[in-house]
Amino acid sequence: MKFNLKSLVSPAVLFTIALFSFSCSKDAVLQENIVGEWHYSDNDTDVYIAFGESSEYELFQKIGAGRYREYQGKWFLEKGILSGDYAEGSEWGSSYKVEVNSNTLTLIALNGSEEVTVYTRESIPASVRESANMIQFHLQEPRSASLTDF
Amino acid sequence: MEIRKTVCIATAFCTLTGLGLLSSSCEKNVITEDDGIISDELSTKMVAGFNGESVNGELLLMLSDEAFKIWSQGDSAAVADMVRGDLDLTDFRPALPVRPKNGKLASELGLDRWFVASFTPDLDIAEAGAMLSLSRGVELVQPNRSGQIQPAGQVEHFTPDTKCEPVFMTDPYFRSQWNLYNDGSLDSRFRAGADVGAAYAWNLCGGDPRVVVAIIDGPVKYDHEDLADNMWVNEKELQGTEGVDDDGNGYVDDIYGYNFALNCGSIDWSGEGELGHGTHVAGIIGAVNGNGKGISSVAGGVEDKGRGVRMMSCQIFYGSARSASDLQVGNAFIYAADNGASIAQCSYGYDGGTYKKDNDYINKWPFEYRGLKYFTDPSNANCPAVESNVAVFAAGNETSSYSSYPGALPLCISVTAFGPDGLPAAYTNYGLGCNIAAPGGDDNFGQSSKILSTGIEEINGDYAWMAGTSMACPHVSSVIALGMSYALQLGKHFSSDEFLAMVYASVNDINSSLANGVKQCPDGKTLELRNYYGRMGTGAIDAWQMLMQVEGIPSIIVECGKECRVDLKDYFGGGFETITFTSVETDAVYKDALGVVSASVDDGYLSIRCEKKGSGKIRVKAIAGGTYAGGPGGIGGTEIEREISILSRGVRGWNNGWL
Repeated sequence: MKFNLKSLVSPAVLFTIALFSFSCSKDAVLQENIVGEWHYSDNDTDVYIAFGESSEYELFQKIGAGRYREYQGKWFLEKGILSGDYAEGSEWGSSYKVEVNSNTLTLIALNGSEEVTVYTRESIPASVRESANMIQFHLQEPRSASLTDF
Repeated sequence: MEIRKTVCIATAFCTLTGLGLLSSSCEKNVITEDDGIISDELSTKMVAGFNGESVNGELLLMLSDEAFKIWSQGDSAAVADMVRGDLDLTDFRPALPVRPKNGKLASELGLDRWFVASFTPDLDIAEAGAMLSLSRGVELVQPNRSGQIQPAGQVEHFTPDTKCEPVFMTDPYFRSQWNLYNDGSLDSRFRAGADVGAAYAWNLCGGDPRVVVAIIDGPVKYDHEDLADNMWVNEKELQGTEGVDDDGNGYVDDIYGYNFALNCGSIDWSGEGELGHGTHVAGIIGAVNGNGKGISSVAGGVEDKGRGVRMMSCQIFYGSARSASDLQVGNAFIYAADNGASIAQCSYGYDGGTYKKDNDYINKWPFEYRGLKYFTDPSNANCPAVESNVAVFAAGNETSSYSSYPGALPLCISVTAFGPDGLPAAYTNYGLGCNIAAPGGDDNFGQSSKILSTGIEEINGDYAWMAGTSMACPHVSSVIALGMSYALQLGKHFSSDEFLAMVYASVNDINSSLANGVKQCPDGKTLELRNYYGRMGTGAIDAWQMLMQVEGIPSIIVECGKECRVDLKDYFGGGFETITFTSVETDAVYKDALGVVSASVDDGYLSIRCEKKGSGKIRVKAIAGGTYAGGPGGIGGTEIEREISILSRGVRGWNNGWL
């Protein structure tokens, strides 16, 4: 029997395309579900994240004392893995496996720590934004050069 | 026995003669044991440098235990007899005109054992001192010295420029005040950000009338249109009877403070040669903000963000006299503490390099030193938000590589000065004993590079320009006042050490501009900037950062199981070249909770490895403004300690980010 490569390849390609499409479709659904505002709180840690539709995000965090600090940047979703960067250019400290239920967003760190953080869907209070807006956020700049002769 | 005494007297006179100050003979002062003279402690009783210089021919003496005991029993005549010996005293009275409120502390400091003795004019003051030092009723004797005020530099009348539009405040001259907000637009040579950061801080706090700043200086013109509403007012005296101590604080008619120069309640700027120095200083701290008049100030109040702090005038200079006595200044500190001041603003001092260790200063100015100790003792704290009062001094204007005293004492803050270009002012002292920098202005770019503040109309106009560390100093005082105000409003409380460390951390980096290059000055002087590198204090004071320190510094996130290197800028400010880290300590409970296996600090970074997730604290100790701490034996930096909160978790993002 003559081996019909064409007949064999076509289903495989179709299957792959289907899988890819399914994956894309799954990512699209996940992405849609991630978009929104989320809140995590534990002891003296308070974190709000707003994932926007256009890949932008806002992060408001209050860790211990002081007021909320705001970070911004881009987020990406690929094959169910959430990653992102800060506006300054640095990547997040980890990428995350994501699970979204109706009211919870679970991020599982993939940097080896496997830390699990569960956020609940919650609007960011205006007071949080206001608090963060007051901060004259000092970026870390390279320290001055050491004293040199000239 | 009598020979021994004579020898000792002769020794005393030889000591004085050795200083080139005494030529009297011994014969007329033959003293018997019955006169109460002993001699073994002569050398320690006479304060070093006894050169006859004394205000009104007065001597300050500290009674011995024996004499003080008799005094305490009410037999003042017996004490006077014991002290005077054969000397003809014209006056003998306690150095404290009023018993301090905190009598226990005053006694512990020995303040109540100090007395003033005056003599007939024909008697040489040094000879009298030598005689007194031999009395068993006397523990220490020294002249009632006078000290020099920091020269303010040239005073210039401010010509109002009506074209200037205020940016943040409605006060018409605000736009000329680069020291409050410098965006570089006033002059292309000005450096944006070379200011005190007040315009940002006003978003949160404008001051609080519960915070009182004592201006220990020349007179504050309390009825100035831009100062009157922020003056400390002793209402009982204001509403009371002239010539009567209506509030019973021991001082008569002290409505806006007290005039220690003339020993009266009336603050007086009519003296010939008056410069308006104290009034200029006051305007920097608390000229009324937003009243549509004159200038703005760091802590002069902001609508909806707190009324301004209050200013108390403790006048120690009168007219052209640029000096005040040990007694006057010491009593001014005690008055300030007893009448509610939380901050002593002191734009004066003894030339940089005159004293190079604390003990040299303390021995020369014992009453002032004890007054300072009294003011800063926690038992006398007047602001509920901070455990003790704070004393701030100008570093001095002699271009010396030493801070002047008393500012160089570890219990004081010594302030250096920079101009609108963010570079050291040509006159500023720097180096050992200097703690922090602030806008002081200079001559480099004409009048407008000085500091504009309130003046005295008949002397230099209602508003005037001045430059000096005298002007830098009130910037730091007022930022501290703002910090105390905000802490009161937030209901926070800080220990003395904690608050001091917060002040030193409330700075912007100044060293990055000083690594190389020169600054040309109008008088032809060239400053080699590298001489100032790491020697201007921890950095340039910033009001916004002070308020952030009061709000609290966020925990540092470290990634569990990994060595993390974390910037400590928020905890120690930006001037790491002037911070010497000495140790990192972790209490056992936190060490266990976090699983801390290593922790060290280098170049402003904390390197730490935690093996467990959780929260905890570590303590980092450092020397601010030097490589070693100053103390009795030498001038140096100030020890500070910060408690740093740590959150150990699985992820740490850029710049302490959560993701």
